[in-house]
Amino acid sequence: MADNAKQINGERRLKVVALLVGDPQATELWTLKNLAATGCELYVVRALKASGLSTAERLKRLARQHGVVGLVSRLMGSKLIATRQARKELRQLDLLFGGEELRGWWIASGIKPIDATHLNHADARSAIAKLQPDVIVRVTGGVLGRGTFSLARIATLNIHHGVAPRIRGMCSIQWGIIEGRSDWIGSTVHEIDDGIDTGRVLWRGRPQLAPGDTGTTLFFRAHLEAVEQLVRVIREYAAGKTPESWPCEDRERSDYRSAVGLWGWLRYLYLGAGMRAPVIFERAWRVEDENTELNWGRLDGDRVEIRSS
Amino acid sequence: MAIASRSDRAKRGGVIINEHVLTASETRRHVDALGRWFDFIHHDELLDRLARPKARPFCLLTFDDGKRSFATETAPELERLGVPAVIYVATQFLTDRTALWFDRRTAIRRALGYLPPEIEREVLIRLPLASINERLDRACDKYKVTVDMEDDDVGPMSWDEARDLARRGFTIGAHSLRHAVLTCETEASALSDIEQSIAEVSSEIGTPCKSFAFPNGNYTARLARRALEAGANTVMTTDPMWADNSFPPWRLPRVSLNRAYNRGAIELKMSLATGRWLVNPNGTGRLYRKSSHACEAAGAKW
Repeated sequence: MADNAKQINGERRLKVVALLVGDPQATELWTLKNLAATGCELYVVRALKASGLSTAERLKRLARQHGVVGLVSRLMGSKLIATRQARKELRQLDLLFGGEELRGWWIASGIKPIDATHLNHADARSAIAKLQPDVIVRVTGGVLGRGTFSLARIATLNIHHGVAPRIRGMCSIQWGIIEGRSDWIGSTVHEIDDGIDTGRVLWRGRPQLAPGDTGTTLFFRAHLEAVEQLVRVIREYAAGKTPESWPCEDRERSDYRSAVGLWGWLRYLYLGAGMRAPVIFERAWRVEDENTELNWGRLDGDRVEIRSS
Repeated sequence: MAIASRSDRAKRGGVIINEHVLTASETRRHVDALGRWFDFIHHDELLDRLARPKARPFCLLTFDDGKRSFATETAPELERLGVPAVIYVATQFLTDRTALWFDRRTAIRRALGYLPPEIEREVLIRLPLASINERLDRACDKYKVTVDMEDDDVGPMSWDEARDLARRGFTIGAHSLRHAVLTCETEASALSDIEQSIAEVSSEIGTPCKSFAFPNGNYTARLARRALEAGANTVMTTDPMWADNSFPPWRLPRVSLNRAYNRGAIELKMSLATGRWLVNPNGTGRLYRKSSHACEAAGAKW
């Protein structure tokens, strides 16, 4: 047991460092509030920007990864749609998470974030190292380098909004909608390793997919459940236990998606627009029923016989 | 309405009406309006009427939540008029007798004259029940609002009253434990809620619970299947359409009526419900005019 660990009711008081980029929005505040409620010593390291790469370096890297057409598509998608869409979804999430109350909690909590350039920068690493965390939780931010995630004594954890390792990378819920993959829609609590969303899975689950759902409501419910499970994992660490790995099928096919391009965003908007959205979701929902052999009821006298389709 | 009653849907079925609270005179007005065009039926006749339609469309009256006013005002009037009905009770509401979340919200709106945005209906119906209650607890504390449980339209009937209604021929169905929007809960918790509420109705009433209605009308096929497995033989939604044999018993539509409706409004709503013009009141905003109906697409008949 580390020297700085304190005991509360026989449980260790873990030192948890939460990493985020920029000012926390309602989604991040929800995570922080629930982490604080575990009774851990909570510190926040806040990066001013998501990455240490200059714009030119980032563009070069994207062009190498996706080609020029892919790069242009991503840039247009980001400038024309993603920014506006993100603003709209932020407003909706603020209402769903109860942003006003959470901001009140944040001010009252007295947590003073330690500012750093970006999460893989030497100043961030030195700030984290000084805190000697038992657990690091990546609340938001880009890909963490080994130099950052290895600073945790026990583990560095992440919530991935998607069913990992089935779908890895950014915007997995949106990709699930765009590509009609309801099995990608969900969330995962996992340890961070050198890959992207490839670490040991501690929990994963899926919100119910119901008519009328949108990308935002699915993200909201997936996040609620993931935070509840993250809290459980932290409590297990505090009790000196090691959470079991979540059973993921061996050799499960893994897909990776990065930022959504222009075509993807247009499709997302088309699927989510007005009265079309519930119909599309209902279709996905119906496919799911067929996969799970929905039992249709059949009239048989006074009783309904349950039979497999 | 005359044209609507000659439509295809009307020839094949009828309507299931979803009501909440009615005074005796409102009950009379609604029964008078519906009785001009429909045969009132008992829940036990429903599946048979769907399978073997008659010349005149049927009407099954259902009342959600299990408020005391059903026992004191509505039921005596329905008995006098000879009209059967189903009452869907939120079982823990009857047991622990604390206000349902939407009545607390209404009390806050009455006290303030407006609703803070975080407790608007459109927001609350997208939250799990624990979050709804947490938000309403905070708002009630902040604005010093209490709910008048002595009001018969707010407080629950007792289990004794429910048993008495069952003895008098009314059907008692399950309506979840505490009126959570079940699609916003985790699936495990929603499934257990359905199972438990059906079991509680069966054990309290002393006869098997044969029907389940989704609170707020939000459902998925997996949840409905659990209701069938738990013993219900009909499952009600709030899809605002006439019922006919293209609907499986796990997805029976109900047309919601408001207590303030007069005869004209009721007839207009019944007419619109034949053509899938109505918006589902469950918050999904679905318009059925252009969307195809799932079980029709799947070709399911029974």
